[in-house]
Amino acid sequence: MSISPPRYTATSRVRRGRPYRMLTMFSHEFRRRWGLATAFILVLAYLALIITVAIPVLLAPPGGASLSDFRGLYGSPIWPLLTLLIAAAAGAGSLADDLGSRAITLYLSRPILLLDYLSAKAASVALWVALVAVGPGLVSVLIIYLLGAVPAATAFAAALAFLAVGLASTIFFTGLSLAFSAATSKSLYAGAGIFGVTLSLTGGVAAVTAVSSNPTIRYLDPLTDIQSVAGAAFQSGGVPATDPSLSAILLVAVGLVLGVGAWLRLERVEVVGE
Amino acid sequence: MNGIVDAQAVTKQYGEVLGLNRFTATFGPGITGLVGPNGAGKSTLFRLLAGQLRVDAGTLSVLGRPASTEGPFRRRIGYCPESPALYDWMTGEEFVRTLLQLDGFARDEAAARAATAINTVGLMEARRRRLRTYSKGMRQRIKLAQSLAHDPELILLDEPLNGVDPVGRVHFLSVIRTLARAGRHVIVSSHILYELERLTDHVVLISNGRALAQGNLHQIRGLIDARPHTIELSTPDPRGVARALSTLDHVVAIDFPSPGRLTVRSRAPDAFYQSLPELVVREHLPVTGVYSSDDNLDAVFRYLTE
Amino acid sequence: MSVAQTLTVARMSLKGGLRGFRLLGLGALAAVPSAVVAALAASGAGPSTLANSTESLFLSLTLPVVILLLTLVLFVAQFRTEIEDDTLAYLLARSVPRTEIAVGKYFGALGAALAFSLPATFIPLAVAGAAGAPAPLAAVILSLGTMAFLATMTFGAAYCFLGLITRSALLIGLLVGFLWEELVPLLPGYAPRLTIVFYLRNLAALLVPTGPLSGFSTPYSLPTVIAVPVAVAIVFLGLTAGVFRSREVPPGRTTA
Repeated sequence: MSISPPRYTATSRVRRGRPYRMLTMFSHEFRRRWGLATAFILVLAYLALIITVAIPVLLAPPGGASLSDFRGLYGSPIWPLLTLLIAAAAGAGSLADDLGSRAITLYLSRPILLLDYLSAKAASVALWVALVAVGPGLVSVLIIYLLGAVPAATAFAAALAFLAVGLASTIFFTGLSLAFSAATSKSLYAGAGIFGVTLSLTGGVAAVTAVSSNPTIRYLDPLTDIQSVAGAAFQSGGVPATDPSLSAILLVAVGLVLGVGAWLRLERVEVVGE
Repeated sequence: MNGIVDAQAVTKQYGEVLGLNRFTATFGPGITGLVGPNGAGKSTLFRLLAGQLRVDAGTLSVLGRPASTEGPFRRRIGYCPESPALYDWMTGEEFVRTLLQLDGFARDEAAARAATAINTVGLMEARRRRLRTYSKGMRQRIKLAQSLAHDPELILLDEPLNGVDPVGRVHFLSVIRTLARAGRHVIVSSHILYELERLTDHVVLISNGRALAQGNLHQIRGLIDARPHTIELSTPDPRGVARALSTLDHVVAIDFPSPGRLTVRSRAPDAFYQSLPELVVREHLPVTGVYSSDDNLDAVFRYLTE
Repeated sequence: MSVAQTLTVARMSLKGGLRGFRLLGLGALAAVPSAVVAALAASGAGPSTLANSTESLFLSLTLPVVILLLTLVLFVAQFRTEIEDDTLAYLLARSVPRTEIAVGKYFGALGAALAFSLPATFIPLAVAGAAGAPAPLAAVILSLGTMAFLATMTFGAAYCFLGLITRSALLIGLLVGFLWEELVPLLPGYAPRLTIVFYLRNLAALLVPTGPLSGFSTPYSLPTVIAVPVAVAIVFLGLTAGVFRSREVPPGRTTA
């Protein structure tokens, strides 16, 4: 009990800016996703994918390894599965968990814009996805270069190619994860959605293209798009299933549109207390 | 061991966290209040009584049987958990009826009992609405309905008044009293002592997983009142105010913890609060604030644990 | 075991599984194979190609993606959602034994999952038939139905168990479903026998003499390829009931 009259004193008004607040949210979200499951996926991804990249390059005759030998990563069935797994692990709960626990009201009761909140979450998901979509490729290039298996120019070109393909994939999978995560308050449903959409498109398009002469359908499969972009980036030759430029634009554009979709969805969310 | 609930040195740990620490208490017939601050172990005790946790050490009996007994024995106990969570996709009626069917009641009887229980808690109009649309107070009511619908002998109510509006509280307390009059035993928890004072004289005080005191509330209050009551005053003239207060018989000590503050210990807090305004006016004392940290339950527990 | 109480729990789980956003999402997922067959028909596939593609689609999409995800969502949620939402306390406070709760939840989820997985299996056949594909052999229908049923039952039991024991059920479920069940069958030697998909594919090969479903050589008899998934399901259901019986339910995140 207090019957003391209130006294007001000037408190410090020094506040850090938006970048600081976004960085705080980003770092909190990134650390929150760190756990046994994500660690396991990362270890598995780096072991399996480095071996996948390194073997064709190291088995090439001395001095004969070229940029196209690095492409093995994107042809392997492990890469898409691991990328999807990390997208589900880091992305499915990124917004859904906050919606489910109503923590989003705590964030948005602060002087934080919805756009800042979503950007911080997107950055965290993107970094996690990039750790699998880009990281193993770059580490492989570094190892192979340090072993002296390829000249610096080839290694540099391979690193750029991994960055380009990895970034396009990262944008796509980040957008997909955010869209599903914003659509539900249960990360379980969001994770299943991420897998369901990607693999349904892949399986469905594969079945249809086996009997159809219409090549446009292939653009619907994100994994085919990634392979086409990879084919061009690594100069592997052959006829790509889709136009690599168009596929790259599609991956980035769809990822961004899905991200905007997540933003629109969050704008309409009313978190009702119990 | 002849109470409705007998706990002897009950210990419950969650990993390294001690939920209950050699908790010993007997809960008699009628209504018993379980009072303690947040994190004291009230919900842990209820979950043990409801058979959802197992004791790590000690013995805990409910209605003469070990608390962990499964099966038909559970019909003798009604449990209203603290959590506001419900099966949000069900209607209120469906929720209570389904839980009754789980107790083995045939569908028709379950429906009739559900209707009676829902009527008792005053939710008849909302019974066909989805639980997700219920307010916090309505959630508490439907939780109470499911806990009493099967006519149990012992009803465990974990913080049932949380989120209930003042009118709802009166209704809630009246339902609990009616249950007790009908021969039911009720254990009801709260962290607010005065809430339970309106309901029962029998309380068990719990803090840090231990039973600090149990019995008649007035006896416990007497125990508390036997200890000096601490009141803190803020004033620009602590020495002048202290001089004036020292004339009061029941003031046993005055300290000066910081500039502009003084702490008074009184053996008769009621008399102190009566004398203070009079003294302030008569002596023109510049008192700018009165703080009684002893008004909250924490202070009670500090007295009992000191 | 009280059948009435088990059925009440099963009914709760079934109704809980077939509602709201989940119903729409899972319905959309279950509709994917039919949509693909419709797309195949629209792209001018001939009758026999359409029939063969529909059968192949079951092995490439319906079984490894659609049924797997359906069961993952529905069975993991049985315990995980209740633990996270702190609603399990209501069930445990009643006089229904825990074994009945575990079994009831499993069969309720099985009913809900079959309500999606069987249509996801059979409607594509109907779509293909409507588009002019020859009627499938009875053996094909029997084989697809049995595979869908066994897959739902077995993966469901494993996911139910995962949902009970770990907060990372989604990830472990995805790892098991998509890394183990997809990649291990590609390995040489005895490794594929450690997957459920191996037995399901062999079941199809044993039942169907020709066509895409017959393309696996099997070392086992029909009873064996049925018994293994059933045994795995029973083991996981037993584990779920056993763990649930010994499990405590501490105050949840919503309890102070």
